[in-house]
Amino acid sequence: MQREDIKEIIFKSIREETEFGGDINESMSANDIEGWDSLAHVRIIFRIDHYLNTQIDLNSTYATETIIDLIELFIEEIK
Amino acid sequence: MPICPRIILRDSNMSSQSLYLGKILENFINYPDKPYAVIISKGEEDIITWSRLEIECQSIMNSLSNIDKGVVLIFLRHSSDLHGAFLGTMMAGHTPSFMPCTSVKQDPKLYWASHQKLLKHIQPSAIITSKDVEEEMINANLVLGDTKIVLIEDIKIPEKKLDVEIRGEEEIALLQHSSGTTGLKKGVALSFDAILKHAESYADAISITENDNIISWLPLYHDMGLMACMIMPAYTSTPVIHMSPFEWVGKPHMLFEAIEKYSGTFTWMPNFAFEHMALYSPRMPKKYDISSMKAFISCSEVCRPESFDKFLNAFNELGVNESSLHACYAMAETVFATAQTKLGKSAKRILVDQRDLNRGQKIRIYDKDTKLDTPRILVETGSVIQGLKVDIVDEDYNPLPKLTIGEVSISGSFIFDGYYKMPDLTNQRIISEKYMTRDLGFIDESNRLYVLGRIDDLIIVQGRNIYAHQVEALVSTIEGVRPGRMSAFGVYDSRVGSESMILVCEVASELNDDEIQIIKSNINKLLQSTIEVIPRKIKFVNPGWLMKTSSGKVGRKENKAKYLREN
Repeated sequence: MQREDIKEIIFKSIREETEFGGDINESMSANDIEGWDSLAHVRIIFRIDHYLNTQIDLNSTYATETIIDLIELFIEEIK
Repeated sequence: MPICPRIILRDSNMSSQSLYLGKILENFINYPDKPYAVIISKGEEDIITWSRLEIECQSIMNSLSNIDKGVVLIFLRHSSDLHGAFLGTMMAGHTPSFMPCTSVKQDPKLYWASHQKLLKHIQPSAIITSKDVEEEMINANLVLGDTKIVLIEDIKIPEKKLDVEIRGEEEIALLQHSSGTTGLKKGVALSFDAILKHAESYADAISITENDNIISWLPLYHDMGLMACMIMPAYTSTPVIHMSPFEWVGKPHMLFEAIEKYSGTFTWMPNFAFEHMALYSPRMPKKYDISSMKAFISCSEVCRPESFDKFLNAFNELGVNESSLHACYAMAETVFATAQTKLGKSAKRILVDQRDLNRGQKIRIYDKDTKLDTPRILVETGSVIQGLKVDIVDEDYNPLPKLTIGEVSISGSFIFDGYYKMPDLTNQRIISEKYMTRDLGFIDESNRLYVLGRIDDLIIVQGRNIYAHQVEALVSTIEGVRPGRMSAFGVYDSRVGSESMILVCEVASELNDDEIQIIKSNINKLLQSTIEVIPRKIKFVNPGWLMKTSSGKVGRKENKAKYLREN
């Protein structure tokens, strides 16, 4: 799977969970997206895992600051 | 050694403190090797036996021995240290109160800055904490005044066993801090008499014994975690298996893993957790046997039948059945439980018309197959437990007949003593010895209580209580937002199974998108770091959008209705 595909899945998961209607870009963080609270974070990760067929360690996702970091984390997970 | 009696002799002269703590001291002797609790953290299990708990209580008592008696705030993360710290503080004659620590998503500087006002209000005699948390406090320049810091890493076992301090009946046993902005948090003051009577009454209502096992992911700074999963079971000698809420939320199967391993019989959780477990069900690593469970008890937010159904459908094959799903009506002001459904029976559901759910209106209960335009199914919260009395009252506090909607008021033998150092607020909420809950509800012909929601501006997000006016006061401090020109309210989110907070703010119309984005980000950052809840939606509107009440205030009800019409 290409980086762009993973990015789109992550964007899609964020939109589905938060119902955020604005533009999302890679440099954004959870604070920039309304509705992305601690429970939504877990549910976003569940969704990404579901689409990518992964089971990422949730703790590692808390260390991410921006969506770029999250994309890189899932790229590593898939490798 | 002169000590609070080690073997309980229940004579009528014994104080409630002696009876409550005496039972714990009795357990130290009777069950030295039996687990008091098991702490699960990062895959490791740490068993605290009663004899180990005694040592840890003694060590805390030793550390507090030269500190003036007063409130002791406990800022410790999920660990085995929490229990000895709390009970040892009680035994040392101080008043303990658990406080939450920063989470990974919170800015420590903002978090501790928001606690400065609380510390000034409470003036604790000591803070029990760990080195890492102390470092956060130092970095945030927290002013502690005369408050002493006791580091959990430095506590030592006393050379000689210390006596338990006996205190007057009127003394406060503990403070339970409600949610809300940290600066305005209400400390619910509870006496030993109240916690003892509650423990006996609630244990009787659910028939819990030392042979049961409680499985919990609830934080101990929440009344449900503290009372149902620590204070009551310590008295009934029921072991509790504790896990971190942060670990559980990411790995919900931990709950079932612990139920299977420890033959769990009771667990308490808010409505959203039933939804969360059901959502996670396809990812369960295995089919756990959870048939040992007597009760999954829904509490701390309105219990929704659809959430029970999702949970039941997801886990029926693992041993969950309708009669193991229960509801409890609880609040810190009555120590914890006020009403509880009957174990062994399914919680009763009734069909009503949503349009009937107004204050003062008499409820009509329909046959379950009746077709209604606006149907609503309600789940009972059970019968009022012994020692308490519930009256449904009108605006003038006059009792209403059965099936009529009004404010739930509670009186009885384990009502709180008041909000700590907040006499005005206490007087507003305790009227003629009745605690006015600000919840709307009614009682049916069989004395079952049904709770519908709030009269005031409280928003209950995943079991946490957030007052809209406090959120608005915080957001008013953000640059770019017009102070006082905003409205926060709760909207039920069926996907999560809980209320979500919506915030509508007026901003100057000339702001561009980038400036708006910065304001949003700052609001989220501030709310995350202070109340740990962020809005599901922040709607920015031009000046004039917000509707005012006849008294000129921004009206939440009106603005919520307008928001829902437009979205």
